[in-house]
Amino acid sequence: MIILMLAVYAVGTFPGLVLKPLQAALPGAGSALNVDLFSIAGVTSRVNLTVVSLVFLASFLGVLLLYVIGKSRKKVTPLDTYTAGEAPEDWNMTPEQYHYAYRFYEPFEKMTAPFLDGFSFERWFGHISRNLARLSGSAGRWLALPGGLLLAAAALAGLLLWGVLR
Amino acid sequence: MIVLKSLLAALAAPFFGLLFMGIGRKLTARLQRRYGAPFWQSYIDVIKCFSRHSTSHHYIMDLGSMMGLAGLVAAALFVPIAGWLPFASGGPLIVVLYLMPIGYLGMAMGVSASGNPLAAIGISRALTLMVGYEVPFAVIMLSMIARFGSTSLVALAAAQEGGVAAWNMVTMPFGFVAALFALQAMLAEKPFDAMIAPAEIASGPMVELGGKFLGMAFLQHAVAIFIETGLVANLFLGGGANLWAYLLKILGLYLFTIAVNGVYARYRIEQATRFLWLSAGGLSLIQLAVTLVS
Repeated sequence: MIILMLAVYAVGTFPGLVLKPLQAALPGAGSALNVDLFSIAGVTSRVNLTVVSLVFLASFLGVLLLYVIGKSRKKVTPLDTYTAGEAPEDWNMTPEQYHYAYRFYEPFEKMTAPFLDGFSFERWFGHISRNLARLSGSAGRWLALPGGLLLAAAALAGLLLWGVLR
Repeated sequence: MIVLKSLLAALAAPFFGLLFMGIGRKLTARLQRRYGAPFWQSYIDVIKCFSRHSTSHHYIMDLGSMMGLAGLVAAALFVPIAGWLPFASGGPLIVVLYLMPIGYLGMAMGVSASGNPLAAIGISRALTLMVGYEVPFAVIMLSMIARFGSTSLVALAAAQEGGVAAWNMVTMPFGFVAALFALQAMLAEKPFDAMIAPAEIASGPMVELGGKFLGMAFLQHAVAIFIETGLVANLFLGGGANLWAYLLKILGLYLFTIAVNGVYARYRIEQATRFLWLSAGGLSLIQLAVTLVS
């Protein structure tokens, strides 16, 4: 994990490591990329990612200094909380239900509910899959007819011929 | 020299942010017919926080709090102050918008380390709201690119030279109103403060923070004020001819959000998201269409 993290950090700090080979290849595909080891230039601006990384690192060191200067902290357990320390089981709830990701999209669901009133994705997908099944069944029956296979082969040959002569 | 300039810019953000916070608190008090704390109270609060012992639930809490503040301080160094930047970067808007969420994600990481459900509820609301205001802001950014062909904050501010009539506030009014809505949500001021909601979820993400962790959260908010008002000032109010004009503009923007905060009630989180997507998002789309047509 540490090796992967360092690799990600290196690529983020020196974008040219991965983008330079792309820069060499892209003109062949009719596109261009303006990049050097430290920065990327787009249509609207140029960003030096090495400077961005160094600024963030320096800011972090400054904040770390502030943290060290501040009075010491005492380590406590996660459930040794200041308020609301009651076990959620008291209200028939589990700790998972209090996780911030639990029903994260509920506000969006509530927001879009009036627009999707009477509309069910399940029903919609069911409808599509039923029609697809009917279509494939029809195609299968058609192929099973006498001469059906011959007609299908002729159609395929016609398509191939059209592709070659076009 | 670059190091000294960067240090100066890094210190200016929390310094002015805390000053504005203090003035904002005073304004809120006067709106509510109270006397209010002195304007330097925010400095006292931060110093007091750093001089108190605190508790930590996990080393992730320490790391997340530091990461959050560091991300915002780094973003502050890319926002031009009256056209001035500590080093040559042009103030790329994309970098600022990329560094800013580190602050919120750092806080999410930090406070999620505690087992307090109120903190988790607050964080889930904050991240949901972030999805709400980032959509209109991204559309505003597209309008800027369509009109000026640049995402450099210095270039965008310079393009508005020539008086108030040339400011994007006048030439791109729908985008400006959408940006004000987004700013209100970015600063977590009413009606978009469901993530903090003191009486309901005991200040949400801040519920478990004390001592230097609370101090860092104060500083984080102060830096966020400086960056976010600065962004709107550079994008719509022509940046600033000099330092004082710039500070006056960002103070004006902040006090506007505080005045709205003083008189509005709180939205539920889905109401806030709906408002940001439909109203602010709609206005920003109108602005994009007008920009593309003209």
